Amino acid sequence: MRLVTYLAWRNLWRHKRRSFITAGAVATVTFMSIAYFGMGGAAENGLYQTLTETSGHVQVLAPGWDQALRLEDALIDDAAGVRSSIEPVAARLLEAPLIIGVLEVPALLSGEDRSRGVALHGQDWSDTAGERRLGGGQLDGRLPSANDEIVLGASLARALDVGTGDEVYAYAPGGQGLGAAAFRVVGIADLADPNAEIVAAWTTLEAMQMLAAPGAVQRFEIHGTRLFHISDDTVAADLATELDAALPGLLALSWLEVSPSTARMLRTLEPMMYAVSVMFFVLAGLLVLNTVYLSVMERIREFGVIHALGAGDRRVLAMIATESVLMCLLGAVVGGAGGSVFVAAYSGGLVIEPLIEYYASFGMKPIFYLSVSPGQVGFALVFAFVTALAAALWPAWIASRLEPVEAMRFQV
Amino acid sequence: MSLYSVRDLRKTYRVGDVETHALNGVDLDIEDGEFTAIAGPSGSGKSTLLHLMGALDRPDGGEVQLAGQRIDRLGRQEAARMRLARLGFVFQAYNLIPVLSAIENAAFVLELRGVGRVERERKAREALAALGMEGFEDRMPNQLSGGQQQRVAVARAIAADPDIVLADEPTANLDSATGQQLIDLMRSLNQERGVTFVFSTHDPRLLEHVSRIVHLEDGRVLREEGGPAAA
Amino acid sequence: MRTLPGPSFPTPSRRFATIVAIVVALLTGSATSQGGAEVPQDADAILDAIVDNLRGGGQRATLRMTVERAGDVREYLLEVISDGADRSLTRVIEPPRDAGQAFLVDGNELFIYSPRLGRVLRLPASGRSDGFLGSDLSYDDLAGDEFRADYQATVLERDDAAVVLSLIPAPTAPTPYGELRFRASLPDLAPQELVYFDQRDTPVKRLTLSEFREVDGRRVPTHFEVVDLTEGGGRTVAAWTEVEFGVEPPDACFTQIALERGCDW
Repeated sequence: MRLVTYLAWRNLWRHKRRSFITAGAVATVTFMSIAYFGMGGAAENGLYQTLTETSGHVQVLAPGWDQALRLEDALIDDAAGVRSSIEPVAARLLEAPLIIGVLEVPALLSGEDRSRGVALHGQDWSDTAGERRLGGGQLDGRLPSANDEIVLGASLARALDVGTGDEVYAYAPGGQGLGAAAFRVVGIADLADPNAEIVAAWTTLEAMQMLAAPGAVQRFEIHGTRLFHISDDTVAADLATELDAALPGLLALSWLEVSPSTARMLRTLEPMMYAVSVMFFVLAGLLVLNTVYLSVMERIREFGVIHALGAGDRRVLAMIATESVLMCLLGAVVGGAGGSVFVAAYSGGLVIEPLIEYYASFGMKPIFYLSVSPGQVGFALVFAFVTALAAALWPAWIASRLEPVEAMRFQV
Repeated sequence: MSLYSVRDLRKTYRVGDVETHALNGVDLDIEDGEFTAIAGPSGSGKSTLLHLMGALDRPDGGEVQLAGQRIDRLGRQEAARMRLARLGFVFQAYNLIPVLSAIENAAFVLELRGVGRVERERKAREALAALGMEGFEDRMPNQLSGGQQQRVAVARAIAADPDIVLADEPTANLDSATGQQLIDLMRSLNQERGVTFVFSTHDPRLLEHVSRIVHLEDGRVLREEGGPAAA
Repeated sequence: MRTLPGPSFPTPSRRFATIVAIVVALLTGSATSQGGAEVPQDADAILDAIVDNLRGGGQRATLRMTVERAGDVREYLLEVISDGADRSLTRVIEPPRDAGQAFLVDGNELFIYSPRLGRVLRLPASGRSDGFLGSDLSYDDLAGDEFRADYQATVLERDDAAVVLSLIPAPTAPTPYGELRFRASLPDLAPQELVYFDQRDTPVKRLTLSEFREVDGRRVPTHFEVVDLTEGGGRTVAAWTEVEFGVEPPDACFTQIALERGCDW
């Protein structure tokens, strides 16, 4: 083995430039893979943060919440009582939890002469609740602090032809509450996601309860304000399980369960990253194959002599495989180190200017907090090794099966 | 019992539609300690004979025995193992591994056999000295002349204590003086250490002091001169 | 038998058929409905005849509406004034909590008055299929679905006793439904049942009409039952009490002032 190894090493140095270029290709591919994993990790974390910012990490809901056609079909009637059951559990499992009760009432919202059907959104606005609901958008004015105050999305305000200080009227008959209410606009919200902005009409929870369902909420959102990385998220599942048990008759769902389509999308992110990385390595592998094949062809007569001396097929195969592995691992280690440094450098945030608007349309902030797991770095290195072996396979096979006499007579 | 026993050896090469009958029934015996030349014009089958004796190829007919054992029908792995254990080779060219130094090349066969570093080095060094190559141990092949390279090749062959050294036209790429020098070195090794040599050549000038000469023509033994143990 | 230039040769327009029917009615001096002795074959004409029966012409009525939900029943008393064409005014009399709310239909426009807000709100077209006062009756049902304008009618089934029309909404119609099926009895073309299907061909709402009264040759239903066919859906029953037919309400009844203050007539 020692012979095989130092022969391989020396043969790599025999054609320095070629070896460096090939190792360099593997280094580049390894670097790109790790950078790509880093971006993927950032996307995951970004998606996680954006989603949990607007919906919380765990939601408490009434059964049938996803199929209810009418407001009263899925209400949590004793909101205050349920909240007092949630508070101790959340405080125990989460750091600095935020519990937000939400009641959304479908209503006709009218300005002076224009009206629209909206879902009026009532919630508690204390603490960072407002910040989280805004999700990186801008607020011109302030959040509602009294029951006759309302914040409208900028495009909704334009549709109703109202501005800050104007009155709007809500009509929502058929419920348990007053069925109609007047509000004064105290803020206009510029949200990143235009689809959210055209229906944004925010007021206090109490106002909505008075309008349609006294004492009730549709859901409680529990936000873990210190959870930033998706890897920290297991606590949300635990919280959901505990609350589900503590609140019979109600459902407690983690953010993934509330939005299974997002869960599916997230689950495809990681396999996709691995697939792309594998593709990178396949391409690099082609270059490695070319290099190894060339170097074998150049040395056919030499291999003929080595066979003639009785080295044996397996040893010859090992010689070439070892050359390839040494070359690729060298490149992989350099590329891996470089990639890790890159990710570490941008773990504090990388902004890509051209993507800002595109991401905003999904309601996401375009700052990438790169992160890779040790497993992903390990994968890149291991796959470099696999590529080295796979690429060398065919040329090594050829070299090992040479007939000594023919090989020694080989004319290039 | 002869060291080597060759009976009715035949070999035909087919290249496309062309058939070349390289050997057409050769009988030969080599005794231990011989210094024998296989002579003949090109195309006479010299290289083929040596290759078959070295189990580098398989005959189409006849048999080759080494110390009583048939070596003409061995499988690839077996043949390689046998060559490594018992035979020494010197080829016309490209003998040395370019990335190894003279002493490393000389030790190569020993290393393939798994001999330990200290002993390996000792034997290689001693073999190089016997070929007059002391001081050249750390030179790389591209720093050696043609003749020096061939001497290192011979050193490699003898360092491993083979049953026989088969040299296929070892002087073909050397000038006549250097070539003669090589043959003389080989002969003195044969005389001092009793190493059995069989080499092929088409240059009659090299045959002057060779005790036994087997003349080949058209794949057959034409005649023999001298004999075993002829001094 | 009179020979009518009816279905035996093509009648390209509704107007023509109407004119013919009126002429015939005048000539014969009988107050038979357009459905008369010869029932039109054309789907559009059938639809018109059904709608005509449904509307019943100018009327003033009191409507008792009962809204049933899971574990909750509410009763409303409404006053309805209609000109039999495309204008109507509806005011809530009882319960006191909802009293004073009023709804004005003026052609394509629908206005809502809320005494609590003290304002008149305009209902956008997209809101017309919403439930009126949270019931299973929609604003459209109240105003009168623009069947002819928004839907394409074809005859689905027909035998001696009844005809069923299939109504497919036009692409631009502000309705969430995929199809309506309107059944009427023959030969009087009195509307019996209207089933609403969603975009996936699932029946979601059924309106059953009963307790017909003869008015000016029309068979007008006075009892409406709307059932929400979706899971956990409720039911709304509306029945005319105290109805006056054949009246001509003044224009002043169909103004925004009338919304707020009612109309004295």
